[in-house]
Amino acid sequence: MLADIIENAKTLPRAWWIGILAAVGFTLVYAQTGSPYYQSFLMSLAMYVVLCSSWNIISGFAGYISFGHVAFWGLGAYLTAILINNAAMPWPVALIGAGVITAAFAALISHPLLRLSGVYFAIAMLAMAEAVKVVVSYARPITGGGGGIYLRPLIGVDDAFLMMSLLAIVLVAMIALMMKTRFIQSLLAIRNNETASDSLGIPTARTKMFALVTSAFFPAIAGGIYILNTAFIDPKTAFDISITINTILMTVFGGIGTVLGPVLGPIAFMILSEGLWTNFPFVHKALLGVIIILLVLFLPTGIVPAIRKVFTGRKVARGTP
Amino acid sequence: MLEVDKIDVSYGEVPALRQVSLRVEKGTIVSIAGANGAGKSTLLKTIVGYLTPRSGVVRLNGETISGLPAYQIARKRIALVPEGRGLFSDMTVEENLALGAYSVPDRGVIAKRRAWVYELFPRLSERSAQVSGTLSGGEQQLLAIGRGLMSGPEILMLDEPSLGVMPSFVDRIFEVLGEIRKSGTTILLVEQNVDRSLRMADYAYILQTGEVVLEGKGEALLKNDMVRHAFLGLA
Amino acid sequence: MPELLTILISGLLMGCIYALLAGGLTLIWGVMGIVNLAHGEALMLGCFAALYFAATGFVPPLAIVVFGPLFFLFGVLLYVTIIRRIVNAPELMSLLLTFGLSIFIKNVAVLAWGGELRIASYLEGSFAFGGIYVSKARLVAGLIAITISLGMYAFLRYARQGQAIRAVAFNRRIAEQCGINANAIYMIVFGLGTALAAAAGILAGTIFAFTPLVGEQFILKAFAITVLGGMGNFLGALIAALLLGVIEQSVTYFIDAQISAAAAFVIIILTLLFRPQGILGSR
Repeated sequence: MLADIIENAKTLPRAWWIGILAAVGFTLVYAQTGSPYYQSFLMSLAMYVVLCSSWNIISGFAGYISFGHVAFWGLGAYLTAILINNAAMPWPVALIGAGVITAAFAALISHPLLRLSGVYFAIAMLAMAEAVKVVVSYARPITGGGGGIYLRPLIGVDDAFLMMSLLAIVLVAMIALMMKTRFIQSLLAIRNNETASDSLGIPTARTKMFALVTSAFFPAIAGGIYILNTAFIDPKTAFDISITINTILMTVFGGIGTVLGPVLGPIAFMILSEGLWTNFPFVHKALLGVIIILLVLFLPTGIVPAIRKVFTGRKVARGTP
Repeated sequence: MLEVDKIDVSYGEVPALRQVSLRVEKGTIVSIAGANGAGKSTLLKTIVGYLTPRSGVVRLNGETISGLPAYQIARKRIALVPEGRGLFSDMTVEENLALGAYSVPDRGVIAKRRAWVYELFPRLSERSAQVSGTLSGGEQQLLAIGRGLMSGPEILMLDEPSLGVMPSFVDRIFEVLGEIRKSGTTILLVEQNVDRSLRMADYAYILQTGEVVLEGKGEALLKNDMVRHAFLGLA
Repeated sequence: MPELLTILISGLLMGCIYALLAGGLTLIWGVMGIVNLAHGEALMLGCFAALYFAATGFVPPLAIVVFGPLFFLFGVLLYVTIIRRIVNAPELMSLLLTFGLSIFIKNVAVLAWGGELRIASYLEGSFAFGGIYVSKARLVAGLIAITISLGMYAFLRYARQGQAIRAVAFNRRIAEQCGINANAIYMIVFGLGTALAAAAGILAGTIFAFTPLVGEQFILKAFAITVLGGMGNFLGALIAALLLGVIEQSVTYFIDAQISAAAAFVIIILTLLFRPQGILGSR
């Protein structure tokens, strides 16, 4: 896999490297100089880039639509807080620990759940997330139950923004570099035709499990960073289904199964909903519904393929007499 | 009369039929033979409206039917007995027959036809309340034919009716086709059993890689060297 | 013993209402392959129809007679304008589209009617015999619901149109070969499904307090029932609904009302793990 990644790194267009460097540079500078309001806004944006890019691995590349991704984010937040409060871990260790435990949880559920296909997998993931929510709500001695879990404030919004943004950049760059690897190519093959992939010798079960594990790890870290900054979370927030829904919508809006879709989707979507929120404070949710319907009907493949089509379309037009 | 006039059909970019023409005169049995992948099933699918020809037309009694939705073509009394039977296998024999007559408004007519089908296939009448998926392969084929007859078709098209049926049943099926023809129904038959189908046919077409390479009276084709060589295994 | 019977009867009556709701969901799912996430909103609109009827002085359950056909037309309209376009689209697209429809409808309802709890109650008190108590309103609602469900089942089983619906569900192509217009069947099915959910809403609105967001709780129950009964299996849904009703009542009585809300999820997970084809399904 490493050889594939290096090979891929050589062929990655220069614009990509410039983009990655620019994003890192901006993050480092803005964490020092930016206003807390915009840092907080950009942190949410980066968080959704992480959620969307992660969701895109199992749902976009492998075609297993997850309706329960918020569970990984919420578990990450809760586990980080628990490891700090109950195990007295330093927060960086707790953060990684939360990611690892959540990934292990994903590995555990992957065997039964990834046997299901289509809508059944989607519903099972939804039920899984709700079940986790119920368990967390009732495990009062450790989780604080429905009242939520508290943490002493450990990092400011500037550091939270820095970490979230770097996490997003690392994840997106990693996926871009891994596009040509056997791992992601296998996922695409599974999406196309799982039975055929199986008979071609792709270890589908293991590949899907690895996809779900990766897809769970990064949201957990994002959830951990979130709670390090807010110092409080309750089950209602941690397992809010609208986080899953937003993730799916943003990714579809950007372009499901593409590398840049989960980046452009959240950007476009958050700017759009910020605009809706301020201009139509009362009807924005209803409008969101209309936007979703229009999106599905008129732009089902998202903006990235649409943009690509415009560019390649022009090239073809120029080439033909 | 069914008339296929120089149709071109393709799956995406892959051509499946090229300039295929054929005529099925009223009251006759017309047979189509050819190797696997020659385009026989594609031809039937085009006639019933699943596929639309790129060029050329299909006409029924002079009226163009290609391009119409499949259910409207079915209502023009063209019935297909699909390959693999295509029964509603979780429904009973009776229900399958009723669905065959879906486009017939008159209950009296439906009852009469059902009686006729049960007369043709007494086995089905014994099993009218049985779920069709539990019938034997041969019985299922008879039911599929019976369902096709329930619409009172002007043309009955059969796609490989003897495929996967026990030899003893094959005789019965060909016998039945003779009786159906006597009742005035036109038959278009696609059959792997070339010998039998040509013997029975008034007229036949040989398809090869999407084109009609030979046509003529059934008995005449049986004597044709190419047919004897390619399909009957005779030198 | 009388307590147990009280719980059982109460659970069965609730299950009858669930069956009506889930019957619509499973019908649409089985025939069209669409998981209609806006199904709960049809129920919510039904609740408000009952409220409107109560306000005008009529007995709320009668709203089914007047509003049933209207909701059928509403479903037909949704099909013709929107749903029709995603019948053959990938699952994610139909899930997203019906989800968009769901949040549109419920938020318009919030704007129109506000978010406070209401109820279309009209019948107080309970029948009591031998220590068994049965709420009058619940009894009426449950009996009407089971009557409609059984009527619907008979329609699917014996009527010509019902057979055509099952034929399209089994195999669209072969059905079309029999002269059945599958698109027309889809339209009818979406109309029927919507009307069934609304009827469930009209009945539920007479015994439960609701807000425009009531659909969220019910859609999850309907999911659980559909999965347990086997996708597209109307009779399976009926049995699964009764089962869920009884399980919920028992959990509420013996453990905790909040945990009973989780019963649906436990059922979904257990069914998908151990019997993905549902209780009556065969695969």
